[in-house]
Amino acid sequence: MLFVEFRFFEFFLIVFAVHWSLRGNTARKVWLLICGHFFYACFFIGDPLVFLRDLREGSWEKMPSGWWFPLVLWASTAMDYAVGRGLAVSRGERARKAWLVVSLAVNLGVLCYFKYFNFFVTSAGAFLGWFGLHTSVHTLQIILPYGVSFYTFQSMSYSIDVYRRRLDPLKSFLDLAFFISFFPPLVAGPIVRAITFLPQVFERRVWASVDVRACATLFFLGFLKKACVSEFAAQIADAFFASPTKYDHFSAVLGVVFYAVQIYCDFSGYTDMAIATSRLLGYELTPNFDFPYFAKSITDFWRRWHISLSTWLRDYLYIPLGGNRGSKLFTSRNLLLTMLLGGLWHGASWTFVIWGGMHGVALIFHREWGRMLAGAGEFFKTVMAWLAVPLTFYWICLTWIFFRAAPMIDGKAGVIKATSLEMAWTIFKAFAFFGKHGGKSFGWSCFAVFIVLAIVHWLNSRKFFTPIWQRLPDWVAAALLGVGTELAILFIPVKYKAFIYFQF
Amino acid sequence: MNRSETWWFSQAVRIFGNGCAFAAALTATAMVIGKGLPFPTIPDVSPKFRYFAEHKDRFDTIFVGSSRFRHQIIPQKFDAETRDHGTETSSFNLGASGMWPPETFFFLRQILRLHPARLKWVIFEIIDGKTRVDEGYASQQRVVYWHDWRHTLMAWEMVWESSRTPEEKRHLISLHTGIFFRQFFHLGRGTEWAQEKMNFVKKHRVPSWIEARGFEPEPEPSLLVGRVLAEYLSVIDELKKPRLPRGIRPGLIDALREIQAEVRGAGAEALFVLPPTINPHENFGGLPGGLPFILFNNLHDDALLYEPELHYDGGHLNARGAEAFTRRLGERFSEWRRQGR
Repeated sequence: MLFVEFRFFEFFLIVFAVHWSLRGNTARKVWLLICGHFFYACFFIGDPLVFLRDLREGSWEKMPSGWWFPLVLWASTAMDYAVGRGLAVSRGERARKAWLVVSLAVNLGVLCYFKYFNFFVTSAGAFLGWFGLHTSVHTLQIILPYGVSFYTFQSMSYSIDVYRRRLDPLKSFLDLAFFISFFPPLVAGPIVRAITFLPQVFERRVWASVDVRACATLFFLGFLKKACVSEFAAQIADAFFASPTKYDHFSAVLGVVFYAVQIYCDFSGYTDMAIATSRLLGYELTPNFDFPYFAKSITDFWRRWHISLSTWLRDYLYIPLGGNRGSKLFTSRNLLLTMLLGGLWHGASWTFVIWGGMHGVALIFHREWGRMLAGAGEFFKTVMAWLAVPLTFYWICLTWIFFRAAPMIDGKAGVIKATSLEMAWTIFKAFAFFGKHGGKSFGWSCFAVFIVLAIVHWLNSRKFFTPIWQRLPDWVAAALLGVGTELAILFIPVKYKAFIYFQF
Repeated sequence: MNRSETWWFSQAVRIFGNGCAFAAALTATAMVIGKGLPFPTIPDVSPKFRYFAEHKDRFDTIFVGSSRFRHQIIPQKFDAETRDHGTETSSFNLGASGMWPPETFFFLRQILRLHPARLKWVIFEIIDGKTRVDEGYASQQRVVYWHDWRHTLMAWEMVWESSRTPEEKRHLISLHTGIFFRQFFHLGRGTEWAQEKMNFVKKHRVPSWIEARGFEPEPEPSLLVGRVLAEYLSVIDELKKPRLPRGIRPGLIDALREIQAEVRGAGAEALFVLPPTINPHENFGGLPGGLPFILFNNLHDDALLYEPELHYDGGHLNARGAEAFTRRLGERFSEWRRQGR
């Protein structure tokens, strides 16, 4: 079930009421563990009542194809629990390393199999084909378990931090299972780190620490971003990306920019709702976004965008590779490798790898740019300071083209008319001035909407609304949220698009 | 109550109070917005509604019903027939495919809200609604738009009075309730408006029914061929046998009386018509006193209208059949007028 669906509110009301009614911490954890699995199951069993009826009647042929997804989740959890216990009793460094390797191998193996097997097979076939070695490629019908990219990373953060002795191995399997299956971030993040979350698991949560008003406000803003802004932006982006050469240049720019709006509002909206839901249960998740489109550089962007992933990659990939502790070339290698793998994490496609590669190249360039700028004149520095945000945004938009591009398929014949890479290149040319253009236009009204959204977003980044909001009495704030909710419902499309990051 | 309990109690009161403020504001905003929202954009239904709204004072007779009106009543032919029988009419066909109760009642009420100045006669199809709503269609505007409280209650009543199992009834009532909330909170209406303003919706061609004043013939060729024709003829033979007339669901009778009163309140008269039908459940003998009606379900009196050559399929007439039916309807309407209301 999605956070924006009415049945989620029905579900959460029950979860919330029972959670705060229970006195014991263990009872609460068991309750949330059960709820987490129910929440997870709803993604692939459809209507729970229909599923239970089929189960009662023994209609096994109607069992949903993802019924085994929770088994993968439990297997990953059980394996990391065993690794943690193994690390607890192991004394020698070799034994400890062996346990760590087991955890990494199994978690990454699960991820590679479910997410990348067919990608590796078809890519290998294509690679051999370049050398004239034609092979018969056999792919498997593999269904990707929901949230596998997120919970395997969460799971690995536990075993790595236990290995590094930053965390004590857990004695309670319940605690680890609760941490990994905690439902608000389970299927689309943020990636929760064991070191920040587990201390909260040990302590009984206190109602007095829950700021209901702040949580309700955050949830509402997330809802608005996902259900209204992202869905609206998607219509423009989808129309453009489906037929990029039919639009004029102005509309090509708008199409890509609105995709940037769509993916930000979709992902940050979901994260806001996940964080708000989590806080209402007494658990704090780390923020995942900090107004990334106002970043002054690509380095700054990665401190503001998908913070949970970028810090995970920094701490568990970039730094272990050597970070910036070596030569310039060594550092560049580490940056590029981290971003290439970061791109690949998003999906099994070369467009995601290119996306990651573009960010890696930009990060490398920015390191050099910093050195070059240090020696430049004041006027140049001032101009670059003014252009920093728009230039960074422009580069981000260019990278989103590769992230979003999908193959063009002839609907009737089902034949691929253009691959993702070809589509990405076509759109890249259309966006960056020198591509073929048609005559269709989105019109100035779309541009006006973008300007309004940008102004509101900028005011929000400056905390313009915060003092006004905080001064209002609770009941006035509640009433305004009621008005805002109805206005948001007006602008929800009848059919939702799934959260973009669900596919990862 | 000790101090801890007092604290919890005050927290509960605070949350409840703020929750009420939230719910009240949400509901009030929905009600205020509902007053100002235009008729929604729904294929087949809103183009006719909007056309009629723009030209409402041209017509004194309207036909409201399902595809059995949409494809079977030709306004110009009806007017010609009534003129020949001494009654001047200027009619418009508001029939839409798949429009059954409660939707027909809702739609007619929206038409009456336009206060058409010349409206004299409302010819309303006698048809009972289908209680089932396919889950896939439950979110579509065509299903949502008529689910205000009054017509949702009508839907509940229809489900309750049906012969479905208790589990099915519970499921359908729950489904209709969910759709009511979608309608009440105007889910997606703003998006629809924004899409039209920003040209995301395909520009519709000028409808072909404008010249025909709402009539749209069934396509050619007929589907009554081969095995389908044989089945049709078999049904006709069965229906020709003597059979006891069926009663009409009491809830439908009450609804017809209510709509008759509202039509009269608008200065017009309602006439309830059952088009030619091979549905054995529509073997009605008539309506209770006070509800004027014309029935075309007698296969002996209206044998011509059941000839296969005049049919597109078992339930609908083709263009020739529509002409025959319209003439017959015009004739019987004029007869009803002559007999006095």
